[in-house]
Amino acid sequence: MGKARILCVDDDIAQLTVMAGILKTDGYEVETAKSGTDGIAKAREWKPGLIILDIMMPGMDGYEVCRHLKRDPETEHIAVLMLTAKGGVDEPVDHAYELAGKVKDRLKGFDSGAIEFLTKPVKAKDLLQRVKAILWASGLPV
Amino acid sequence: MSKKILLVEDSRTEALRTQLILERAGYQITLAANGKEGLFKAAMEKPDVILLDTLMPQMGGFETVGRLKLDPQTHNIPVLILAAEDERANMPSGDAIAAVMRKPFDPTRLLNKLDEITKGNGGDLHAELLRAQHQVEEAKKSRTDFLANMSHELRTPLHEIMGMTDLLLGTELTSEQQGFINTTRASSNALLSLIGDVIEFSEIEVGQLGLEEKEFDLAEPIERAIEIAMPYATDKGLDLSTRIAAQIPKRVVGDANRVRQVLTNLVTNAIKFTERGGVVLSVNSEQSAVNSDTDTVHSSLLTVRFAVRDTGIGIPADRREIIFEPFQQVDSSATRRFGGMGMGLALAKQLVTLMGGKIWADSQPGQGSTFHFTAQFKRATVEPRPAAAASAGKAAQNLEILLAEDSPTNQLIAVANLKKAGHAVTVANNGRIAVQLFEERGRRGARSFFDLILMDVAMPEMDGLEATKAIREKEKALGGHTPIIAMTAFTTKEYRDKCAAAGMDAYISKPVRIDELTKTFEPFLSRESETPTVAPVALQDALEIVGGDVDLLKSAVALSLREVTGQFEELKQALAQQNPKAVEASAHRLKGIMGNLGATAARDIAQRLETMGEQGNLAGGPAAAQELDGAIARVIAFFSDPDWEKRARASQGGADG
Repeated sequence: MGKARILCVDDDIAQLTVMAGILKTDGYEVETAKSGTDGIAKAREWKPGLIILDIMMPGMDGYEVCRHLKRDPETEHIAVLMLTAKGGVDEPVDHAYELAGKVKDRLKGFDSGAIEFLTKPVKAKDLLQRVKAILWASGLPV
Repeated sequence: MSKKILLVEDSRTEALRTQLILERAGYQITLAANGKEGLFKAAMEKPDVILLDTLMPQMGGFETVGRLKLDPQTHNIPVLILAAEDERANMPSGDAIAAVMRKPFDPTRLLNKLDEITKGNGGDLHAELLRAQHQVEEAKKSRTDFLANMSHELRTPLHEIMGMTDLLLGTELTSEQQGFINTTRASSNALLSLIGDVIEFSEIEVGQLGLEEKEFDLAEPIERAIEIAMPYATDKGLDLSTRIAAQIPKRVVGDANRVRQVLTNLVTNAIKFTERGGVVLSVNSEQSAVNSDTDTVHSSLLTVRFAVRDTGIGIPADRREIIFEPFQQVDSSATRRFGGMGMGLALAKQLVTLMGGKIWADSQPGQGSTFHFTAQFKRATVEPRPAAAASAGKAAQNLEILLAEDSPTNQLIAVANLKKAGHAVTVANNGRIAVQLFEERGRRGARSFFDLILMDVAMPEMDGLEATKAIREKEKALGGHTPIIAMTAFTTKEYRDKCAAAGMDAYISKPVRIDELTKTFEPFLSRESETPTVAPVALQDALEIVGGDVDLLKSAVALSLREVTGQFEELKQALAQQNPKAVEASAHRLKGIMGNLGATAARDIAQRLETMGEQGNLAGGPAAAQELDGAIARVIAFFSDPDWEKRARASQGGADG
């Protein structure tokens, strides 16, 4: 059996191209979707082992997509890694409410069923590292 | 007894997994989410082994190892590194690390390794001896460390309190409430500077704080200290003056900031303890005062002697030394009467010692005190060439200046001084006329007719703040940015913030001194003609994002640039329609696009716009959009030049070979 299948969902085509390029170079099978609805359809049909999901997208946002995936018995088992551009929780903030906002975003993501977060822009190294950890934890080929 | 393991790992998933494995095997686990937290917990909990992830934001694994090994409290604890394969090459060498495991790791191998490490450690007599030896050192250090750690922890919430207090001051308050808040702010400020002193004091004590060695103008720290202390002196009606001996060399090598810090400390202290009279700061060169031998002139080291004399309450003879110890004052009633001064002199003493000098106090109780200190500097190798100074002055000559000022006396003085300095001046009697003149005089190319506007703040009909806002509003349509400098008698932060919010670039306090004025506006004028120094694209960042794959970056660039124009149009439309949600969304997308290309400047501006949209306040939107437009244009220009690709490939080739 080869490496795992990964579905990337983002409305930014350049971001999709970069992620897909990095993951493919590392030997993964990659599919992309440019919107939430497209992502859900591809998840049902293609059955990836991991979905990398952008939060802020026009139409259906990442939280909604994730909730949807987790309600559907066909897709509920798929691990979701969320992409956020709101900055990492470790970065310095000027005010406590900024940090509170970021933490709230993350909690919302975890509540919707995501298992991990990555902050944009994502470095290739971090992306692969995080993807491997999740696949390993889900018992999939890394 | 079960062994304690500190697990330093930023990924929640990984941490959870490792924790489960280790706990099942009977270890006791403490988690730390980043390097900094790891260091703190390692020192506090003294684990038997530290398990460290190498891929962490902020302080990475390798830096963390370095710091663990530097700290005597933790340097004996074995460290097991969890690393991705490609990082093994950069691994710190030798005995710093007990073992390395590749991620994702095999649980059984990890447990075996841990077993090996903990057993080896327990049986090693030599290690035990070393540990005992370090316990003695630890005890010496622990108090200082504790103070430093506590102070760092205190500073964060204190910043919050101060931030919120500032926000509160901006709301409608009764004068009674205003008084309460002002007191809160003053107390917070005092506490903050005390905490800062404690931190620095402990840093010096443990040898973490070093001095800079840079060439500087000796007059700079002196002027700066006086500037900081002047408002306090004025408040109390005290004279504050300086006497600098002529034979002092202008340029020296040393740490200007530290000199300033000690001077500020002594001068504000003197003011605090003086009710009438004044404070004099004098500066002498020690050698020339003591001996006039010619060979001292050629020595490369120079000792400067500073003295701060006041006419205050004075210090009894038996307290003159103890006041330089931490948390000591002349007597405990002084704490109540004067507040503060717990750490200031102790810190000053340390800094002076670092600078190779001494500090001491002379005093006649009831008559006043003089604080002396000496500091050693290296002589600057080359004195500045006067030619350079002259050409810098010339750049700021022959300006078209608009002066908005209602008082005829002030007008007279300002016009005379500005003309003497070679500028042309147009006078407006109030803000309304200033705005009118700004418009009528028309433009010179992309720029306004005026090079600079000096704006009084309090004026009849239309004040300086309103006039500035109006001018900035007009500039949105016309383009350009004319520097506006506020002239004001009020120098509180609150007031300065108001000026900045209205769109003013700087402020100077009244009465206006021409040299100060020139100094204030010079940076604005030179900035206009200079090309931006920040590179539009951090190529190294962009390469890291694509994992060094230049072709992938090329296609990302092509796709991004195709998208960016449309996105920017959407943003402009959203701004025109005053739709914060749409501004947030399109700015967010632009931020993502720019971030992926390593275009940090453009990304930050987009971020600002996103925040404006999020908060529903689009007032600064058009100006930021204009800025973003320029930044994007520079990014496009950067990637249109095929040179970037060559450089990118070269840097990758270099990294491989």
